[in-house]
Amino acid sequence: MIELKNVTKRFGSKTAVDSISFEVKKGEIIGFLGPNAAGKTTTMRMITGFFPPTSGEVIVAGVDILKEPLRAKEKIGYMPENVPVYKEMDVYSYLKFIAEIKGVARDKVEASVQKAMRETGLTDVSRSIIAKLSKGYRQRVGLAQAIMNDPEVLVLDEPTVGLDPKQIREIRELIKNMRGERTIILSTHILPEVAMTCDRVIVINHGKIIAQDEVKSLTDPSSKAVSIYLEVEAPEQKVIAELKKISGVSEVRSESSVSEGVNGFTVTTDGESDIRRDVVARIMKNNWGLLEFRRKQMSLEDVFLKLVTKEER
Amino acid sequence: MMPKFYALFKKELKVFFSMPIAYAVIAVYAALSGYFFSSIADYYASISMRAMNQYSRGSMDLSMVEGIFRPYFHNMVVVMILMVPLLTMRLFAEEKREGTSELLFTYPVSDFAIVSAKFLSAFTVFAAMTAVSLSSFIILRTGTSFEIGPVFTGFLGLLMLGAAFLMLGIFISSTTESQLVAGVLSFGALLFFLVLPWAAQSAAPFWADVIKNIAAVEHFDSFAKGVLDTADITYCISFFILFFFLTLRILESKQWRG
Repeated sequence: MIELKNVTKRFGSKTAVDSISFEVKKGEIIGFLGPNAAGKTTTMRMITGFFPPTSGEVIVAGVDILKEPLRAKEKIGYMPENVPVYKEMDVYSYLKFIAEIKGVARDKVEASVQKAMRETGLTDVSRSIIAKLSKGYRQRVGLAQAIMNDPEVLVLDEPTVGLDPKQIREIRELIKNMRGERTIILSTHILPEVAMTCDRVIVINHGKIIAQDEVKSLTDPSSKAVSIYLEVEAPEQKVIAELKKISGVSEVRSESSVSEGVNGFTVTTDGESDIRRDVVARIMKNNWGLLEFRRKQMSLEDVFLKLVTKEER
Repeated sequence: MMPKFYALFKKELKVFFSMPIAYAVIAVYAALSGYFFSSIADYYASISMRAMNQYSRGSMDLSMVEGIFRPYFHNMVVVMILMVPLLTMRLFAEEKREGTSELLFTYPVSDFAIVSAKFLSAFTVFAAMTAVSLSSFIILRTGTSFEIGPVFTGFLGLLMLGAAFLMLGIFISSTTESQLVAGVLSFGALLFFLVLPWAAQSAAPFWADVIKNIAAVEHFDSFAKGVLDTADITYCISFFILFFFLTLRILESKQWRG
């Protein structure tokens, strides 16, 4: 549904997006993940035809956006960050304008506006001036204009940024409810968001894709990166010193002390070797009490930080 | 294509009347127009009265076209120069500052339609503004008789030159994200086209010719005199097309799209 082939974007001498390629299948929800200034917005702007790539191809719903921009744009709904809508208009007339400019047939304009307002929960505020709405509602207006005329592809740039937790949950629900009907690509730097709403993640940093996988397998415990959580009844520093002697251990981090004399640790390995036996053997040898021992499932945050920091090293 | 263009046009026009720039501009223009018209007409009346009394010296045969319409239309060009930047400065600068251009350029509409709609909305307000000043002519017509032709060409001149000037203003608005800067620059540029003939007085004959051809007032003068000349019409149209084209180029450029 969305296809990028070796897409590069340069601003002067600065390369914002460096030869990235990926594909999004019909009905998928993709999370576009990366630290700020990683190239997420630039990539989205190229997908939506706001500006052309310096080189490479962008194909949306089978249409090359460079060759047939108007036909491709008809298939895309876009919500930019900060939701730049015409604030001086009221919700209804704004959405009516959007329906018309997106080429909805005249006799279907009214129905399309009503449908978009219903789907995004705006019916009650249809006569309010957008500037006077709360940020959450304004975000809904942004979403409503994006889904107007039923685009096959939705591109959402940081759809939940700046909202309170309740509003965030509502917007996420709205996005989740579209699952299956539309192909969605959403960018974020909030990690739980991806875990909650997306099928697949593309991690981008410094304009390059550094990982892309399904959310499930990125956080899969059987993946190479392994960390172990243990609680040991022993002095903190001694345990750290002892465990660091094991080959294959990349980090021993002390967690908060659990109770008097008992400390928690997270041991991270490079994933090449299984060190669990070694860890237990060393604790036994020192006659420390081992109170808890479990393999820790990496959260998306761990994966993300690991990917991004590895890139930086 | 047409319905999309119409939607854009309608929206822009609505903004003009809800801001409400349109009312302010029309009101000020109408007031100044009325003032200029009546004072010029008064002066004309007193001169022609004197001319009648001193018939012996009688070289004075000032027509209404020369005595009222021509000076009136020239005055209105100056007023127009004050009003045009107020109508155009917002059009693109605001889209850029507010970031709304990002959405606008991702909708399935062509740049051509966007520029046309913005121009036509400003021109509609401009035409309404000049139409209001027609009332002076109607009132004068009830008391005296005069040829309609020169009035028609005068208004046609105002509209054509106005369209060209509006396009220049829109072009300048597309080059900046500050409405104020767009307004000041447009005003300066328009004033420049107006006072250009002053430079012709001291220039070498060749350059004086060039300057007179570029200057807007020189071309407007024949409209004000009741003369329709293709050269003047061509001037307005090429002025318009040039800045329309330049605006399209600016929208395509890096300045707007990364």
